[in-house]
Amino acid sequence: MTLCCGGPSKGKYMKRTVRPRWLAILCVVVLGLTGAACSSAKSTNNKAPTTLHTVMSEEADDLNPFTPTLQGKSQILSTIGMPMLYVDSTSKLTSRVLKSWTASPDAKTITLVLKPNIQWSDGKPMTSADLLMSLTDYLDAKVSVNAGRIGPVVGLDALASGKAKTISGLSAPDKSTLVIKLVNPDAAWLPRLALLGAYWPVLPSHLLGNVPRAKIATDPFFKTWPVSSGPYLLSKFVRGQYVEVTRNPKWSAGKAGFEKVIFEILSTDQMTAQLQTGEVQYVYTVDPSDVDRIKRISGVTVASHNGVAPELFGLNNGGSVFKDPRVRQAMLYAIDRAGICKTILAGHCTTPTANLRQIAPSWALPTTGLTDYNYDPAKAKQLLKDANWDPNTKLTFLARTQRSYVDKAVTAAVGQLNAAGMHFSVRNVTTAQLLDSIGKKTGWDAFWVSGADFVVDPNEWGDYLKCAGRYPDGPNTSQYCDPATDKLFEDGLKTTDQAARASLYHQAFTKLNQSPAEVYLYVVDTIVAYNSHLTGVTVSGNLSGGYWDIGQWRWKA
Amino acid sequence: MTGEAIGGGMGADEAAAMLGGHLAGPEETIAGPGLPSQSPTRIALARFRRHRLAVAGLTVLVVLVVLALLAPLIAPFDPNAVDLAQYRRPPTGVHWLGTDEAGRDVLSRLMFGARVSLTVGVVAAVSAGLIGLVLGLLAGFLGGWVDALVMRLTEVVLSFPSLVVIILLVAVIGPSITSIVAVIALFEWPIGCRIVRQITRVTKETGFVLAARSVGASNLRLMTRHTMGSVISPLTVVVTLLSAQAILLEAALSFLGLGVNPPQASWGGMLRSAQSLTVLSDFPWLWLPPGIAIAITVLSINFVGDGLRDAFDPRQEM
Amino acid sequence: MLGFVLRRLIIAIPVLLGILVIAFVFVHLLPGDPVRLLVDPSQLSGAGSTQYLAQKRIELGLDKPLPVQWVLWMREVLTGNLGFSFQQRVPVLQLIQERVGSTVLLTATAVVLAVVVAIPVGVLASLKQNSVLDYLAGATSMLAISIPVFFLGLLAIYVFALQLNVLPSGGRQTLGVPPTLSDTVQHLIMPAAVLAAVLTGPYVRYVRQSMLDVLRQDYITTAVAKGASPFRVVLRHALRNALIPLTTVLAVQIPALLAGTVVIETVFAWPGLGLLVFQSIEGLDYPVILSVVMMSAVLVQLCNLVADVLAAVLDPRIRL
Repeated sequence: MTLCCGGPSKGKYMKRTVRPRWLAILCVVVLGLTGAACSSAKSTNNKAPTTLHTVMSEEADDLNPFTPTLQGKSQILSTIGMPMLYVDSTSKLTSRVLKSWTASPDAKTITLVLKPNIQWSDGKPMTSADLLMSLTDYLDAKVSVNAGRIGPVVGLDALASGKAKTISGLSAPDKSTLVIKLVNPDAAWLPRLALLGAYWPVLPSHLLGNVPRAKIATDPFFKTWPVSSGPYLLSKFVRGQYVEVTRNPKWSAGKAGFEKVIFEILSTDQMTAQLQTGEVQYVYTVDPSDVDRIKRISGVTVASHNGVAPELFGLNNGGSVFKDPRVRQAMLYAIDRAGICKTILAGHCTTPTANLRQIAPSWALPTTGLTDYNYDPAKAKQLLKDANWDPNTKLTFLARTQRSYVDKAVTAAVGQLNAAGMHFSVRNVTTAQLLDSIGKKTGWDAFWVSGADFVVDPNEWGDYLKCAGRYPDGPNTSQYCDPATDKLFEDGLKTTDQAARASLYHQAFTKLNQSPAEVYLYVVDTIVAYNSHLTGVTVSGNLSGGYWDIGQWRWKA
Repeated sequence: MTGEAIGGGMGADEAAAMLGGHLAGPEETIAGPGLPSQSPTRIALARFRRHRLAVAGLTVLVVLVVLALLAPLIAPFDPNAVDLAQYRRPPTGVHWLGTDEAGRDVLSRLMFGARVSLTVGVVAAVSAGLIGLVLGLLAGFLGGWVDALVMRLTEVVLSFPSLVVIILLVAVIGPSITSIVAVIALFEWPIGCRIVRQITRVTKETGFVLAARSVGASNLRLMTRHTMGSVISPLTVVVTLLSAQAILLEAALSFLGLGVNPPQASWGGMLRSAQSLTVLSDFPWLWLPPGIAIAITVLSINFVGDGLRDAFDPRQEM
Repeated sequence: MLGFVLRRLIIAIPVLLGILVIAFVFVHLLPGDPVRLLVDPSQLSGAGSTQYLAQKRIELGLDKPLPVQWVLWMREVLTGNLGFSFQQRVPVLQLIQERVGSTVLLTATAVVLAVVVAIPVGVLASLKQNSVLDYLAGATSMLAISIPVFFLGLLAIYVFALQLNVLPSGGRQTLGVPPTLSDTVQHLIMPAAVLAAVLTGPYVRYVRQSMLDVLRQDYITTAVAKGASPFRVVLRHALRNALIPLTTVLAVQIPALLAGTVVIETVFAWPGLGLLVFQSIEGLDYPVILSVVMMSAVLVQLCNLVADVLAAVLDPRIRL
């Protein structure tokens, strides 16, 4: 933009130099502004900040725990409000609010006991009445989108039909204890509560107790969160841009390290650029292909943790194409999953060679009798031949444009499937189209999707494979259905005895190893990068858990 | 109108306004009856040849078209062959422009990508031009309610925020070359239409058309015989500029994830998948080739458009 | 003049209605179900979620037949609310208000910058036709419009934010501190300059061409012959007339820019309308898409009107 300062000139029509005054003024203004920019952009970089700038990995539409939830929202909710229960970086259940959480041996009664001296930001103590009210609201399917995701509690029917105003299975025998009676034995109830924890912060009953439940989801409380219990309190929510929180002086677990934390919504490139310029101090999650470049930035630390969610190709198991398990096995042999992990993901990943690993906690995984599906295109072709595969079958792959490494992994994997004789044509779709197609159950054969946290409890995987949960009724987008596997997963819930559960899951997983339901491509590491002055950061595999320990973060000069 | 906002590109509206400006001039008569019918073309050709940049642009375009057409024969590798052993290798004697993140040969993909970009550029712009031509001729020549209807239609189309509508329509139809072409054609015809209508109206009133009508020539013959000649030159300019815009639009749609379906190579798609600061700083062979290809093509088309405009401009002195 | 304005306004009504009907049809042709899209498959749990979704469908009015939905939406438009966003659960008007400021700031700066650069360069280029300056201006403006804008933006971030570290890489302001003018300007420079670079090229060519046209007119030659200062002639007469076509272009361009800067907004994390529209299309947020389309259509009509009136003011030969 140097054009404005073009030199003096004499034209055919002019006798004297043309240099109108306003042009000169403009030049000065532009230069002045650029100069101002040059002088002050750097000065913000290295002083010990009282404000931490970090990012949200997804945009949050609002901060209401009852509306459909995205990851971004859970990250803020777990910063301003303490979840009852959550998953730590080793995938164990933990809590800052509860002293203990136990399930009875028959897995039908859950007991939660509050820690003493937990208080709200207005100084009021947190009691079992708060837990009782919060759970009652969260379990009501009429107001809470996630209500159905956890095993039914006694008395929920009566609440749903309007016969009762409370849930009879929830009771608070004293100020710190909450007892939950379940309809069916459910050994996975507590792990599930922990996974929902980020979306379900404890709510203050002294402020919300009088709000009728039908109106709770639209209560103005959730616009401002005037009272909460986490390390930080909400101070600003600017839709589509950022969320600002300030230190909670009354946080029960100590004193948070910053006066303010600002969570910004940024694209991958913006994140890393702003980390480099010092505009943000923590970014999450880093694309594996960017790690090498970010490691070269001085003063930046890169940390990672094994992921907990596989990225996979969902298959249309409802149709006839994948009926023969040998076809699905062939897909696993045809794709060089280890190669994709090594090159496109730059090694920041684990390859589920048995199409199982990382899909459940280690105690539930069988150690013998499994087939490892290592890259072997010849074997893939042989299996397809054995299954009488018609090489003229036209297959449709639904792809959503994603983070950069995903697009590349999909391209490579689909290319290799084509090379093995399974002719997929790729169709770019939006999420809306994807769900629409899957819901119709025809017109597609495979698609890319990222899995959920499958490491906390083996039952999590089962939920995605149940006959009754085939999309659009439930989360089983691959339309997989095997009543025998269903039965094993159901039985796995009936006892809390880990050895008894393990033997059931070993059977289920061996079946799934032989008859793959989906193609698990890789489990990408959770990678974060931050200014090296920042201390106390623990990386967790669970993406919703990015900020569960944010109260412990400090700035060290 | 779309190009400026999203992909850059000289606006066809610019052409419209310029041509419109000269059309509005009362002293102008296009292909006036006094001139011998051959000479304007010859003059234009001579003028075009004098425009060195335009000639250079045309040469580049011809080379590109030949490369694109011969791609299946001369491309060194299968553009879609995935080979993870060749993951993101810098240029070598075997892979002249290196390989991409699926181990595919960048040069081969560039050659095949030219087919998509040039097809989109040419077909979309020509279709838009044709729609504009037909509607413009009808409006200008028949006048009356036909004219009013066509003009309202152009107003409606021009009132849509075109990028939003293009994204919307591509999302409705599903992204593919065909839908990109169709959508551009559907939303970029009004400019050509307005110009054609204007010229037709001017021509209609000139003496020789009136004379022809008086001896009983039919409307259809009149339209084709006498008007086409004067309409075709400004329309060519509009179409050229539109095609430059269309190529940039393909790139912009790819950026938004609405480009052609993978693994098909397109320049916009190649540039999009290289759209990351890491690639920008560490792997220049992934973004330089498609970036330069788009820039050179668009530049050449614009130069040719420039040359054509100068060539057809009756006010330019020889 | 008043009669002309009134007539134009009356003609605009059927055009706008036509646009609204067409847009409504398009939007409903988008594949997918907005209610289903509200909930991620992982959140589904049989009967409970079916109940929740059915309730949402009723709340959003999507259970009614399409013509009824159109009428209901028109009613919302007439009351000024513009409906209720499916995804963000607030009135669309509020969403637009949150974004429109950023967009206006960005586009207005870019357009002003482009015009301010283009006029002198175009004038000089026309006065010194076929000079080095003329070719340089032509070549630069051509090059700027031949590079896809997202790439230009990324290149700018790489050079100015990462290598030189003189400008922030994105966003509209430094968050967490009270906004200051210099901070806003710093954040504005790159996106506005990139957008301006794209706009300037055509403007320069425009100004140059229309200047050339005007300079050939008899009255200019006469004015110079009569002894008027050439500088005054250029500024008073030639430039004035040469600007008329530019106003026409701006009139078409400004409304398109308002929703059409999605690419620049994405690259620079600029929280504007373009991004809102794009996300709404992906999220099947019908009321938001429709409102922005309608807003742009109204703006197009208004800008065209303003351009015509301006042209009449600038050029006494034009009578309305």
